Amino acid sequence: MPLQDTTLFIGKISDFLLEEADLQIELEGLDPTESLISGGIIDSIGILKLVGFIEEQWDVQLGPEEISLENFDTLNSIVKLIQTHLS
Amino acid sequence: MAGLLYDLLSASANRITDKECLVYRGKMLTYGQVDEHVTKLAGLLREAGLKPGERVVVYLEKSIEEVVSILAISRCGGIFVDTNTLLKARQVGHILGDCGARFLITSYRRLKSISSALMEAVKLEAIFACGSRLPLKDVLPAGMILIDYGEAEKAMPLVGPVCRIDCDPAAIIYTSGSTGMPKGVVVSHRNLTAGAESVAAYLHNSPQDRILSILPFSFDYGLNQLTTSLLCGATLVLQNYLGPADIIKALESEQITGLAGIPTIWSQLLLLEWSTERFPALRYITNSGGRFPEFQVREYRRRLPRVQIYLMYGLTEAFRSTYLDPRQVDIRPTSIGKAIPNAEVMILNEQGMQCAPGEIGELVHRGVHVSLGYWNDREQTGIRFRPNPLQASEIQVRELAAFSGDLAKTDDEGYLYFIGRKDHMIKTSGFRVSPTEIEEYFYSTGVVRDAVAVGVPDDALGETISVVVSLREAGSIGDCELLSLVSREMPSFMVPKAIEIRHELPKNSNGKIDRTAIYQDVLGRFTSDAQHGI
Repeated sequence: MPLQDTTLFIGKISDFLLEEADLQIELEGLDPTESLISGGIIDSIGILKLVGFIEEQWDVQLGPEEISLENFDTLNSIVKLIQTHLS
Repeated sequence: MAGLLYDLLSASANRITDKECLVYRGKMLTYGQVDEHVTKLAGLLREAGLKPGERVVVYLEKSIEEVVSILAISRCGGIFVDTNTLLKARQVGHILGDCGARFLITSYRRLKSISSALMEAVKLEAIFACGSRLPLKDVLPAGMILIDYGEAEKAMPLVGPVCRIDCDPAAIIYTSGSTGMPKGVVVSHRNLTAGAESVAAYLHNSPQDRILSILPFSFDYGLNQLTTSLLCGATLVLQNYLGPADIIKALESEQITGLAGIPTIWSQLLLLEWSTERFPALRYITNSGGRFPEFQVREYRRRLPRVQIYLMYGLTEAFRSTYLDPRQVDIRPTSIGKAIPNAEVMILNEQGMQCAPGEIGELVHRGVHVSLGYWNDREQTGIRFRPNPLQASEIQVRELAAFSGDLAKTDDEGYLYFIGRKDHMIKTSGFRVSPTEIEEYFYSTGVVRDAVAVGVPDDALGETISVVVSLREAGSIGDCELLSLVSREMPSFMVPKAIEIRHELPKNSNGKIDRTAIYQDVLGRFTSDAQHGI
């Protein structure tokens, strides 16, 4: 997947997180490799909202086995999950 | 002999220094190593001025630092106040202010997220921060001292005894009271160690156990996995999780022998396909924090035929109270069992007399697990902690028992059954939530005239929250907009599933909101929906 797409995905997810997901802090300067969960940036219920957003935005279906720390730990891992579904 | 909570660790560290104590994200620490971290952090806390009896708030995700902090505070004779990371700035601010903490242990990231709370923490003097450093200019109030958690590595380990005994307070566990903001239940070292002894006795824990810790340590039931593990010299595997896949993976890869969960977790795990062959080491699972629906108990018995299922019940005010012997699960899957070892659980009527089998009364717990009451709240303490009415009148020092506010009954063989709450407290995702606390968030928006929160039965969450409101000015706000306004301030488990805006709420003859009529209305609709299969 081209870099440009990845940046676009991260932009869309960040916008959603900022507006919708009850973020604990601002995303300013957030590294896409930084842990969202252990950093306390988003909690498990925020993630569930994000799952709904991803499913709608990219028309994909995420199963309960995919809602894991491994897939949702960083912005990069979230993008990777979406890209796997799209490819 | 374990006097203080810390002694559970030090006794095991002396006995089995090289045994695995904690595992977190593939990193393992032995009992000896954990003890070394704890005594060093205790040294740093002491250098910073922590004195016995002082409160330290710990606001960290489940991690080695969180466990080390709890034990180091105990080592210094301090009182730890572990705070759920689902709580947001407003609730953390309340806890910091209410317990009068002088110290806070958190991460740089979380510190930034709760900076608005620090203003309320008038007694807070120093913050220990771990994790990756962040610029915190303009975040900290003037004069606040910031100490990097990593300094502990260079600190002199704390040696020698601390002037505390087992009946002194060890922790404050915040939980919803029947009114207003959360109340702090003061738990003694003895409550914690006796709770560990009782639970480890009936779970038959041993050094061979590998216990998975997924529940927060700010929850008495979650803290119990830590205390039993330390007591028995077992291995505690710390696991944060997002979904059931994380738990399944940990059970499998870490060869977990014991899993403690709440009803939400059990229903989430059933969303995935798995069978007992994947977890050959798993010996037992325990449920507390809400009703384990009977059909799920039967499904777990089917999927995990060799695993023992313990149905438990506890109230924070008395730490842990009852458990059902796993051999009884097929016979009485809806029972919460009998009192845990070294406790007596009684069902009393309004006159303070023991109820006959089948008769509904209040569940009252007596014994060594009964806590020290609510922090700085005489009135609420007087309601929940009262003299045991069945104590012989010749005994002059009256024993205090914990009156749970829960209604229960026994069968002819003395097995207990939970019926419901005496008040209207809501139990959702394992959290006890006070309707008035939810309502306060609605009032603080400034647009709501009257609000009533109701718990609606739900198989996955225990209960979901519905709120019925009337507005100061009709049509000024819609339900979605109102929901988004309140949910910014509340922890996510408290966010209502449904909001209903009415022109006016029913009032009784005194002009007060008629809560009973609203409860009956909302729950009546739920029952009729359920009957129609909606």
